[in-house]
Amino acid sequence: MKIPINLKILAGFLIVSIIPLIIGLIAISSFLKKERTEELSNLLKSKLIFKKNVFIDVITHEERDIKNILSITKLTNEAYLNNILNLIIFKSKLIKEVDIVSKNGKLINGKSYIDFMYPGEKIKIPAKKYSIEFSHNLYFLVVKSNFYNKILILKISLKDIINTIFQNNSSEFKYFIMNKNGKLLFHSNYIYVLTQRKINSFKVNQITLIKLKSLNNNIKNFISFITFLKKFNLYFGVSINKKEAFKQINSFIKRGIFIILIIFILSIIISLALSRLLSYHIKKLEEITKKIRKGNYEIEFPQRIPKDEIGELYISFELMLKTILNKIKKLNLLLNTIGDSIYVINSEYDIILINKNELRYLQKELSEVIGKKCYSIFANRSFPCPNCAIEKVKKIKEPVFYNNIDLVEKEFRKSCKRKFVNMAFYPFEHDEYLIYIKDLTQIYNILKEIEFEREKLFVTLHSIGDGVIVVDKSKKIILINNSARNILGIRINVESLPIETISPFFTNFLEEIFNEKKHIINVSEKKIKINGKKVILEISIAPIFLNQKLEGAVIVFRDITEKKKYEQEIIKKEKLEAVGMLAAGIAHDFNNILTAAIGNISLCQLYIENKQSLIEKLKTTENSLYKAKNLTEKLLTFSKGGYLIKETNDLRKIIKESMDFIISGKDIKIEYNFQKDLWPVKVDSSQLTQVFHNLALNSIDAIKKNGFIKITAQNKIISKDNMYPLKPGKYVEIIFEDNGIGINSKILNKIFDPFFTTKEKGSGLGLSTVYNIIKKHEGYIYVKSKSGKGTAFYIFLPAAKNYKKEDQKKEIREKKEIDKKLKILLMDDNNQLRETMKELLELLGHKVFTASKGEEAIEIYKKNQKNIDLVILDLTIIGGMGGKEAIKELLKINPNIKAIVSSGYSDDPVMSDYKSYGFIEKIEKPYTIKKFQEIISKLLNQL
Amino acid sequence: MKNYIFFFIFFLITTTLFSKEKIYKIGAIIYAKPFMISLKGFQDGLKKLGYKENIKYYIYNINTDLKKIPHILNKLNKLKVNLIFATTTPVNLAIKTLQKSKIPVIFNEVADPVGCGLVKSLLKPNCNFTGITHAAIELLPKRLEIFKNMFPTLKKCYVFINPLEKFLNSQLKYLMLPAKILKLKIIPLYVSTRSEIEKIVNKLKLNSKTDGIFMSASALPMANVDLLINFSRINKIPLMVIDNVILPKGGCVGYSPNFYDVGFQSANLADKILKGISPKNIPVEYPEKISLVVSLKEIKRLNLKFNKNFLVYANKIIK
Repeated sequence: MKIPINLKILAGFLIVSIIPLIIGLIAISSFLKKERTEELSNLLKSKLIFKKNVFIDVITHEERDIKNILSITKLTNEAYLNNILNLIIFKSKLIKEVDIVSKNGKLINGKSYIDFMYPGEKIKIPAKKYSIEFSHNLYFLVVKSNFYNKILILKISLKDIINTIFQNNSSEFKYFIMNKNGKLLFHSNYIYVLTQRKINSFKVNQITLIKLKSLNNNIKNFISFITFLKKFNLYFGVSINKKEAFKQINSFIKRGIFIILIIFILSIIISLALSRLLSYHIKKLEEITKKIRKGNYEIEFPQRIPKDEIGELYISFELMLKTILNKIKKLNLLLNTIGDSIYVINSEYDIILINKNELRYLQKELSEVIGKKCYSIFANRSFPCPNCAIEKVKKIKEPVFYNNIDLVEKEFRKSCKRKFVNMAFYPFEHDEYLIYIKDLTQIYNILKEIEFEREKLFVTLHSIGDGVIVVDKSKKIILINNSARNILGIRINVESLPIETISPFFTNFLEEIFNEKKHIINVSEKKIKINGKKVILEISIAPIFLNQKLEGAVIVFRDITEKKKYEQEIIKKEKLEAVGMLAAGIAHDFNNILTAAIGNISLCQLYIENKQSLIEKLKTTENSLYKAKNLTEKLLTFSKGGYLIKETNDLRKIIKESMDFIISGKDIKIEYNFQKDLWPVKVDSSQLTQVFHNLALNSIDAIKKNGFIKITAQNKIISKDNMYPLKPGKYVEIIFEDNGIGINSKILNKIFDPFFTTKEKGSGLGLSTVYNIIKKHEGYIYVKSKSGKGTAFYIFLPAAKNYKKEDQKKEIREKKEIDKKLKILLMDDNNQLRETMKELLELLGHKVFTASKGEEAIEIYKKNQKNIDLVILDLTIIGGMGGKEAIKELLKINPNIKAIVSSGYSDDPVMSDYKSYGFIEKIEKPYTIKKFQEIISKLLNQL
Repeated sequence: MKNYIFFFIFFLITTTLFSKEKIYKIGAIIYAKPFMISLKGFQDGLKKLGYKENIKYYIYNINTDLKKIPHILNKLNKLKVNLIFATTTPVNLAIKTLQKSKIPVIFNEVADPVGCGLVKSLLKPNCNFTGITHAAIELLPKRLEIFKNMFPTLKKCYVFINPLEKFLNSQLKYLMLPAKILKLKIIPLYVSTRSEIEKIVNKLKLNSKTDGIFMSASALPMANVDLLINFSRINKIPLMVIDNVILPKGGCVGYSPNFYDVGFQSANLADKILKGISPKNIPVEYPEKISLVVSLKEIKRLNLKFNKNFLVYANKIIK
């Protein structure tokens, strides 16, 4: 049991001061009481004996005196008797009535101090000599005596007797008279007389205690001495109120008690003051410890601390508190930073403490949780969780661990994110328990994912065609897949064996990785012998770092022997196809050149007499043949394979010629956007033509409807910190855009790979060739494409360094008019051909309108419809409306229009079925005057 | 040591405070100046019983003006007196009618406390009134006896009776038997005002040898005793006064309790009340002393013949 220090001090004070006083007081008061009792006994006895005798004497003398006076009259002289009786009544202090009564009770004479007495009045004669009578609210002692054959009755007031006897009586002593039955007849204190019927159990002639009941019903104890007056048949007693008798002693005791009480109060005050003085700081420290115990660390130390041991205790305490707070802070930090959950509860399941992680998980504030039942917060229950481990902990007083349990709360909380936990229940403090929850759900999920990834990797590794070997840092094999085993021809278990035991050729590369700290080693071709057979491997080796520490390496390799063979075959095939395509283009050009040359030769025959004209025609023919020679040389160059013949060229010309050639006859609109002062480039024009041919061919394949190709060429200066793999300098940027289907982003980075194709019959070398040609020209190409929107190729080519601008002059040839017979509209995009034909037809006498493209032809026709008899339309117009489209429009203007289709492509469907397209005749290029005249002659009827 | 001195001083202070006597407050309503002697006896009696410094009196002499009583009672109520000492029947009856706070009242000079309705019985008053009965009624026969014995030639006694004081009518009954035995004729004179007394006094002519005036126990003759004395002197007839206190002014003989003695006796009752006994349990007391006073001076003045033995009997002779 804890006794407060205040109480201890008080108890000590009381023991020292109060108890001796109490003992002393008891002893003294006992002694005094004993002394007083003895004193009283003697006093009462002496008083009573004295007063008793006086009482007897008074009565006796009064009776005798009255008798003596009355005897003078002998009761015969009435007047004299009257006088005597009056004298007695008016003068006596005690006698209140004197009656002289006959034997039969009739009053003979009598006087009363109050009543009118008349003779003959009936008087009650008492039986005994002395008796007591009560009248006029007073007790009278009635004395009866025989006197001269009559009866003399004297009535004496008891009160008067007592008053007479006890005239100078001290008020503390009270006398009383009782009859023989103990009935109180008189008492000095009148208040007891009327109420006290009888006094019981008193002793005679010794000190006795009697109880008297007063008029106000107070019962008081009287110490009495009583004696019996046999003569009067009365008890005569004297008494003193016990309280009065011991008044002084009681007063002494009272004062003593009062003093003790005062001392007691003073003791309390002093002890409180002392204890407060002594224990203030101790209590303060106790309060501080209580606060700390309750978890309240906001402690205010007194500003004034004593400069003594307590002061030092304060300082030590403050330092201790700081240390504790620091530790608590750390503990709290620890508690709140750990990712696990902690509860502290009491045996009633009330939450006393909870860490922040759990509050975060519960999405609650601290105040919403503290003091609540753990099962209501944790599991949303209204009663404790079944089989709660706390009950077990209470019994065994040891921690209980539940590992990897399905959390009980998930039954009650659908939104519960914790699926698997480790739980530990510890006995904490008295009546407190700590619950530790480690959420394993995430770890479990990660493990599952890792397991899945591992399985996936395992399957992948064993499914892929590439060989994969993983070695540790001691170059021992950790993993080897099936493909590696197959490629390397391994049939035994080689895991944990050194790598050189199976493939010594990997060792050197691994040495580089491990010793020279190389990150990745790529070997595109490595020819080795496996089981005597030559094999080409493509090898890639990468280190494995764990925490920036080299822990091993992965060797990935594939057998590319067959691929290499196939690649070579494909290259050959592609070259042949390219040659074929080139040849077709060249053939077209050749056709035109030959048509022009043949035409000129035909004209030469006409101008045989006109020497000047003849010379001009021959020159023209010569030029055409030179072009054919150049073309042949380029073809030879290409056929020789890959040598660049770089010349300073105007890129615009190359682009136009290339595109005009390839797009010719296709339903695709082409737009050129060339910078005016575009820098010339030093390129192999034939190879560059191939670039644009390939790009154009891809666009043609990609374009589905309303085809559109835009080619932009502009100057570009590339700085040092450019984003392209280009040396800084001047470049010409060519943007080749189409509105085709675009390229899927997934394959965008593969389109320049050799043999990569999305076409059914593609070789996969087209864009690879483009890439190689641009690369050989120290340029760069990249692509942007959006699926469904189109593709744009960006080509950078270095600008020519020492280029002198050359004037490009156009050859204009004048033609002689021939006999006009018809008005002919000639549409051909080849200027030379158009001009030659115009001149030839005019020489034949026809009037000729020329147009380079369909639109132009339509405009001319609209204006000169009446003056035009025949329209000759070239089927394929590069960069404009061709004959096929133009005839549709012309037929709208004039459904009876006479039109001839001309083309070098005799296998074109229009040429074979020209009538269904609205033409009346066809003429294949190159055509001669003679053939033309034949067709005119044939059509003259219709014209 | 200092502590002991401190405790000693503390002891002295506390015992002084502890033993401080209670102060008793007593109100006194006196009907007229003659009754002040009762108060004196009362005060002396209390002094003898030990009430000296611890008692404080609030004395009001109303000079027969009963209208003052309500105001006085209010004052005494406010003063919270422990008891009221009141003289004469009208004063006490007025207090009984007006008083609400039931302060204990000790009455003096009340002729018949039961008859006037002041108390239920003499033995048990059963109200807040107790006191000393003046025994005025009881003493009427005795007084008549003394009057006849002292003036043996008396044949007729004239008695002034106030008809408004109904209970006093019974006085006549008390007087009839003794009068018959004493061979006296009682002649009542009904008066209710002073002027009525004056009228009688002025008109009535009496025989100085056979006639006498016998004062009834009534406040009206008492208040107008001067007229009665005058009446006695004009007619030279003896006057038996109701109270000895009158004798110095006039009248031949009186047998009554002494105002002083009754007051003195009343102190015992006050002592009981102050000690906490309810007045309802304190019996009304008879006077312990009844004095025979003879005014020889008045007898001589009236030149009357009388029984000279009474000069021996008398407790007091006025010469």
